[in-house]
Amino acid sequence: MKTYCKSGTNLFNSSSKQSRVFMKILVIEDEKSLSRAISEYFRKEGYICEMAADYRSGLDKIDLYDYDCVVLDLNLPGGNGLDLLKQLKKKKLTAGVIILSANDTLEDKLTGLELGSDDYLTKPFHLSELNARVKAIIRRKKFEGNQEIILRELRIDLDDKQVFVNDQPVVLTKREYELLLYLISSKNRIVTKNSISEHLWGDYMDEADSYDFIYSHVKNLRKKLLQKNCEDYIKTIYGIGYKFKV
Amino acid sequence: MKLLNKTTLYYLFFAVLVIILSSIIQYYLVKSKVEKRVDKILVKEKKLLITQLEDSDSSGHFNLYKTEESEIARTELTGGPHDVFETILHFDSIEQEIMPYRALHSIVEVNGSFYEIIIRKPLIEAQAFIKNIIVIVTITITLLLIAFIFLNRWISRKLWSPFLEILNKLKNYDIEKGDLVKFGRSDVREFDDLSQALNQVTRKIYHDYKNQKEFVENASHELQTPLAIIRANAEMLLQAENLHEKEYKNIQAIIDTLSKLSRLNHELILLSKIEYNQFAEKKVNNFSNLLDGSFNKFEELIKLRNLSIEKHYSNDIFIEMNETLAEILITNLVKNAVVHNVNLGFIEVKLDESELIIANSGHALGVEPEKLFERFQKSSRSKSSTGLGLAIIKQICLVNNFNLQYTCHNSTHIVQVSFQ
Repeated sequence: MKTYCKSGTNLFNSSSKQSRVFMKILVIEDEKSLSRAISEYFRKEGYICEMAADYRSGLDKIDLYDYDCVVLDLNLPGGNGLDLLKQLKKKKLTAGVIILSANDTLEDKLTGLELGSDDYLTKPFHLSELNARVKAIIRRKKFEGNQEIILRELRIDLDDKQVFVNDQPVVLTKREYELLLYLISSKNRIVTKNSISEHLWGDYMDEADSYDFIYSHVKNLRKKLLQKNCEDYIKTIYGIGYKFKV
Repeated sequence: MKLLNKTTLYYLFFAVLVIILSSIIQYYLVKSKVEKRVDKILVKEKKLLITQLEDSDSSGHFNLYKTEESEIARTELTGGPHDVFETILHFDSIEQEIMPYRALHSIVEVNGSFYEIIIRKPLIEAQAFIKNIIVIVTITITLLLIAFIFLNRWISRKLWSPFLEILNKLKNYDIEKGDLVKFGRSDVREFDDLSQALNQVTRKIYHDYKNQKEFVENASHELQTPLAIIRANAEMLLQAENLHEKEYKNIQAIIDTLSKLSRLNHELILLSKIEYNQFAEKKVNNFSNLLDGSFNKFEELIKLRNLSIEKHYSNDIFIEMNETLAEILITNLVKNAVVHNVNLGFIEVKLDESELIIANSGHALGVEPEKLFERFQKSSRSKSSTGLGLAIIKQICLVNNFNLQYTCHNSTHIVQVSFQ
């Protein structure tokens, strides 16, 4: 499994114990082609990913198994996703929940968060975005205390938002930091410029306008890392996007 | 003016006319009646006098006879007996005043001599009599008419109350509340017809509105999910190995177009929701903060283009409107000013309780300013722009009764939103 790096520590380093080595995700979504794409992506990430296509089977799976994160579509046949969320919370399950919905109204988002979901993502979304958010949820849920990502000579302190190369601090702007985190979350995968644009600026900046920025942010990030003698992991892919290759 | 008052006014006008006319007619009628009576008396007196004359003239020494009420004088005038009746003013020696009299002036022949006879009777009593009659009758008519007017008002009110009820229900009909209103029956045929027709119309409106609303809500889900599927699969495709540059380009084209489609869909749904008033909840929004926040969001683009920003507003301007729409409005306005600007350009913002004005440098417009507010009109080169930004701004202003104006002078674009 590629998430383990040279030093032998897990990507998710923590001081508390984990009960499981592999992260387990449940995707509750009725559109098979979508849930298949999602689980394929997660499996390549090294998660164990299971699927449920309706309210009933989703509920059953939650009852039977333990999950680290549940990806929940709100419009399910056989019941409302929000009801399932309520059930989840009633059973006091520790799984994190990220809601997928076609609606992006403020009320829906607030309702979802009030009912106990950990995040809310509107369709259509980028797989890399979903991945980054699931990772963030799992990090928050499973690991208290110091949260760090250690990857070869890179160390990222998630609490202080500091980056170190061989324990030397690297000064990054907010955007560069978020970009680095995003690329590392999807390491060894191609991350499109579109998804970077949406991750960094949401939907209020037209993507065409943001491409120049992405280019300059990547350039600066690379420069700063190289200055600290970090290896150049960030690869440009044919004008489509970038890949953090280890 | 209320219907009741308008009809009352007409009745009043009519009543006043009737009273005036009737008084005038009364006056002349009564006067002529009274005069005729007095004339009859005068004629009787004259006959009496003539008889007296005939009796006393046998002595032949009768020249003049004069009292308050009659005068007889011998006269040289000849001519047949002719009577002239007239109303005259005569000095009454008893009352020591000039008073009105009815007089009969006559020339008669008695025993071969001609005499001029004037007989007069005072009219003052008669005139007082006339006045009293007229007053009494006029008062009676006035009272009758007033009573009539009040009766009419009372009847009208009763008759029109079902109509007023219908009107009230119509006024309070709020299509967004989602209730179906029902107009009651009435025993007045026309109002009953009105009720039925209104029931039909409102029922249709209600169903059409509900259908449209549901359509808008469903369209969101229906379109977004297929878009999500395409995107997810395209991104999975990207991860395949052994792809050549050409294939990357193909996938990139798919993903780019998908992004634009997705945004377009999102904005169209937003436009529809605004039109269907689904952002009804209002709140007090700090527009100063919203503006500052928006400029922060775009700070990279602002720096890249070396734009100079001038802000003229205090930090506590509050406007009441829907929270989501407020944010969209401000973000879109600032976005336009930043994105459609030129290098080393400027943006000036002025905000107070009554209006928000954003002026920015930019390119000359290719179309008339008004056209830009229609959907899908774009003047800029931005390929990824959906062309709906201004339409959304316009719609938000419309539902909030804000006045929106867009002018362009020599490549300076000025957008003005008036809140009152």
